[in-house]
Amino acid sequence: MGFKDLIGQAELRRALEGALRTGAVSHAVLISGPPGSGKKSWGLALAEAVLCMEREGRDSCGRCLSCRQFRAGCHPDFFHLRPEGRRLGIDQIRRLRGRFFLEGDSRVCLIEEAELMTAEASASLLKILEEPPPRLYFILLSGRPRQLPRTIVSRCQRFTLRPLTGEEMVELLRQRQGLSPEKALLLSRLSKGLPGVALELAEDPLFEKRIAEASKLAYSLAACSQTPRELLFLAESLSEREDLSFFLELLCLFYRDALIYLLCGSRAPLLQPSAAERWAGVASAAALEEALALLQKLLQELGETNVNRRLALEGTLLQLKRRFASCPG
Amino acid sequence: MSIILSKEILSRSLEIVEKALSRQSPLLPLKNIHFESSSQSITLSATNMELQIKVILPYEGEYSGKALLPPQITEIVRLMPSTEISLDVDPENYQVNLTGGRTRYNLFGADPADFPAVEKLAPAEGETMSLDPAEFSQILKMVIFAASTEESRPAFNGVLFEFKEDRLSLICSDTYRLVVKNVSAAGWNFTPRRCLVPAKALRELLRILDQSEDKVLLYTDGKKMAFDLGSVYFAAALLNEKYPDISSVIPQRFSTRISLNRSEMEKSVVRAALLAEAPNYAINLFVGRDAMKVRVSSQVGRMEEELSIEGEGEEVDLYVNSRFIMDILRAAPAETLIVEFNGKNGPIVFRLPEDESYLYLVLPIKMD
Repeated sequence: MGFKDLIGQAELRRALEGALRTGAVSHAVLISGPPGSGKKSWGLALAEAVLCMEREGRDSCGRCLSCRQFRAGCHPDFFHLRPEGRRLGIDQIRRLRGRFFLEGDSRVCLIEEAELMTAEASASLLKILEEPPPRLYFILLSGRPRQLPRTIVSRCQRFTLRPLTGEEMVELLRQRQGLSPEKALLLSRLSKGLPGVALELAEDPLFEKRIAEASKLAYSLAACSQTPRELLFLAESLSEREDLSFFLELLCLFYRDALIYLLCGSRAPLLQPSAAERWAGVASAAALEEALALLQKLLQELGETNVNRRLALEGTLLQLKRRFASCPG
Repeated sequence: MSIILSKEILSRSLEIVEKALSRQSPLLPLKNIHFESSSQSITLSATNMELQIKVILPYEGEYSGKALLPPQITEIVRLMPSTEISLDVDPENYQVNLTGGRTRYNLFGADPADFPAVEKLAPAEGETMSLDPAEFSQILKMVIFAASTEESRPAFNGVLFEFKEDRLSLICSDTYRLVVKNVSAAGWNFTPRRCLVPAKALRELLRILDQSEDKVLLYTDGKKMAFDLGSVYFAAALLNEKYPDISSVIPQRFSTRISLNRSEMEKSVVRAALLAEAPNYAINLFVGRDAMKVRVSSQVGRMEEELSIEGEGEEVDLYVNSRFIMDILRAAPAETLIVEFNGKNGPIVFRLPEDESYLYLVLPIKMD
């Protein structure tokens, strides 16, 4: 995949394309960003462009022998390292080391999850980075760059991937998955701008079902249609869901959507404009605001503490019911 | 149509090519052997990007096809029950059928399109050197043992081939010792250049040289060094490292010069080394006029032995790494050796009698 197939990251794109055009690619590049932010895609695109034999200025051609070998996963001068087991050990670096100092064309070594290198491995890498052989390029990827030795980070050109904007994500999902803007926008919010996460969700066959389920639940909770007894049963079944926090985040999104509709009217950008009108007579802005706060608190407890999921859910659902009942729309 | 080949020849060829396989590589083409047949020859090649080996077998036939063979092919051929093997490649799916006696293998070969090209280098006019394989093997063995096996300085993992107009100098060092061997003959006219060949590759080459009788043609393009043995083509990627200038290291004078019997000295040092301890395996040499004392003293005990020598110059008393001395005593192709000393801390130089082309230099261990 070339840079032209990737979306967003204007700053990184400008820097890398500029470096490729002038032939001044740094011998060590560190790309960081949370999981799903596109580190590997950008790293691979850079590697392909560096190795490409008929580069058209700033991007790989995608047609030469080098690009074909690269895309087939059998480029002899591309070394792809990823942790074997829990760490990335010295043996993995040693196996390649002999190749680094030979005469030859450009070689690229891509290291995934670079922060998992053992102390020996990073010392060995540092030794190479201190006196880099000509035309050997390292691309380090890391979700936690602060755990990398500072001596290594200081020898790398650093780039941090940014979350994609709503429009970029809509474009990405339209191109890759042919999704409608409405669904793409929902995915963009849910994935918090991380393209890897959004694409994974888009490929999930149960995704539509989960959306419909969450939307229905959000509405029925706001309409106070369950008895307290039913709520307790609901808490039990929810607590057994593996995707509980994702499900609760969906609820938050729907309440937020309703709140925006109540405050700004139908011209505001909504996730589900068709569903928004239904909310008008059901819940008040104050109740929705409090419901959001309650759900955020629950999500935080579930994520950070060892709370009993079922008890926490029971408490929150009952409180939600009371809020919605006390201030109906 | 099948190719019929002698099992012995095919097996020997595969064993040679196999040396360039990189079995741990995640890339299929680097762990497979490339097979190609044309109307005149059969070619087997392998590369791990450090080494390229190609074996060309003469063969007359119409069959033409190519495929990547899995690394098990060597053992498969070796264990075949018959003396002749028939082989054919399906150009559609690269499946390879091997038949020998009543044994039949059907191997799932791979598409050879992704195999990195192993093209023979084309030597520039007059820039090749032709050597007798036994002689070249001897030369390499006298040089290669001094290469470092430590990773910290890649230049010292190689042997420097320094081409000068009238001769080739082979230089090898691990910073504690140094070997220089000059090879020259009339008619050579090289563009001066320095090529650093990894010792690892040369060790593989040595194994092939010892089985070969054809002349070795040696040439380079500045990125690779090619050793063409006729039916076997061997190329090693050069190290892209700076090699220090060694001319200032070799002393022009000496304070003591002795000649000694190589095998007697070897036996004596081997005996002394039994007590020498890591990390520097030190032994003590006391050089007098007509005798040299080899001594060692360690936590285990002491040993002393006297060797008769012919000497001139000052007496000298120094410590050396016994392994470094054993290496030269084992590799030197002469029964008498000349050794020059330069005081207690100066370099020790080993030379062959009546042969200016070789020297081995060791630094003594500094003792307070």
